Amino acid sequence: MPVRHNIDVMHVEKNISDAILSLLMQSVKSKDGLKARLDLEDMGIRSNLHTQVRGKRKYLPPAAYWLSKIEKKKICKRLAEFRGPDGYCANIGNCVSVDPPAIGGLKSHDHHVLLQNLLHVALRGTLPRGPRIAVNRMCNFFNRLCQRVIDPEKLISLEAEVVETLCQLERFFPPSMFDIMFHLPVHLAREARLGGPVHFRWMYPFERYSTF
Amino acid sequence: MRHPVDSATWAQVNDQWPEFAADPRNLRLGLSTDGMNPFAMQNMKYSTWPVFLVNYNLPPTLCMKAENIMLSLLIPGPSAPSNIIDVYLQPLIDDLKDLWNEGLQVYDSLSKENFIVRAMLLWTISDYPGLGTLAGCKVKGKQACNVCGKDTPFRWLKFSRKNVYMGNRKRLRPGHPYRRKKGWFDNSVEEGFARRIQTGSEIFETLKDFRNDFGRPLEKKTKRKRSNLVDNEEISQEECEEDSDKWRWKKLSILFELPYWKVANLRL
Repeated sequence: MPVRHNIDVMHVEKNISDAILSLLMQSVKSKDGLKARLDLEDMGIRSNLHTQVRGKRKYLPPAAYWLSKIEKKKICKRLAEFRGPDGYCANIGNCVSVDPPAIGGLKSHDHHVLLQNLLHVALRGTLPRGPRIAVNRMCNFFNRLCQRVIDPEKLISLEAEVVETLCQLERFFPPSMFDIMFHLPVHLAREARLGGPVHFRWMYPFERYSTF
Repeated sequence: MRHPVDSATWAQVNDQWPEFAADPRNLRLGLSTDGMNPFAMQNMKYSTWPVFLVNYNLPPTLCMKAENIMLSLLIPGPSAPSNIIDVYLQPLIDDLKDLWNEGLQVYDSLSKENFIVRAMLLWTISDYPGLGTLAGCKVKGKQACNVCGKDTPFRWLKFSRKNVYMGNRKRLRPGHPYRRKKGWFDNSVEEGFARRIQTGSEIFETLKDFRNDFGRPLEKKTKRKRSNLVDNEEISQEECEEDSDKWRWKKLSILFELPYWKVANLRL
């Protein structure tokens, strides 16, 4: 069999969305921090982000993917006010607080909807151009991958594009974010080409079946 | 493409086994497994592994509906079966083998006749750790990617204390401008290429004489004695070399007992 074990799109999507959101909102689960900056120093790249010692404390210079508090509030307000059609998704507003701006407690389907349709709208006009385009391209990749009807020829170009997208993410985001879940999208388009649309090969129906 | 019937996998099956594809009533199944807690209590540590089969002969609107998912096995807890899941899967695989080789005589109520139904397993669906247990390969560490295997581009981060997988630039087309951007990435010009993905038969070749060890210690392991270490040293050295093809495998998956599992004539 060409694809023996399917990589589950649902979990990949959820983990990627989780990592990106926590990084943007600078929550406790954020992959950016003192250790990530020390790693940058260790690798000898991006000297503008290295830790600086100011007096007794270590200071982390602001990075391109950091949002100001006003921007965070803007994003959270957009998400909190989102109202979808009946049966479209859970009420995402429940998971978002505007003051203080925080996003937490999303279920995997919320992540799915967020990454497919909402995040790139919510981010509009906030991040600097580079990181924003990288995140948007990632959203776009998953949106095109998860279509009910896919064109096998377009999947080939999708496969090439996602590599470029990952390179862009690599350029702006800290290396500690790139766990295995950021590697797997490379293979997703290939598996879709060999095995058909993803909604026949993901875990949603089975997870739904095994809950009460 | 709107159904696996349009996919390359389906076409390959039709090519390879025309007599199987001739009867549209022959089943093509997908296997899914996942850990769940039957008591629905977050603080209770208990993990049951249901094994589902899903039938891909149905139209897209019915295919993944809950009423068409078959619960074929229930692996009891209290802990996840992990690597020894093969022992539990044995009866299911035996049935699948029978269904493939001989088939089963069943009654077709539409045309009011008996016929022989055959079935094959197309693929498995599971989350990433579950994929590791089904395939018997590593899903973390240096060769975490089950597709890339030895070519997984890992890098150890000293301070975050974990492996990350970043080398995506070598998958770009040759001459892509990103390959030359030193400062954007890790101060190097990328000239490498990603190697071809291992096919099922190649994996089977490396694993052919793998000794499966499904014993599970009843008690928690005490510290191994030195004498045991000496005995096992020769074997362990041979199997623990990171460069060898075998390093990332923990078992020869029982799914390879299915005669069609390792066959793949597509170079993709």
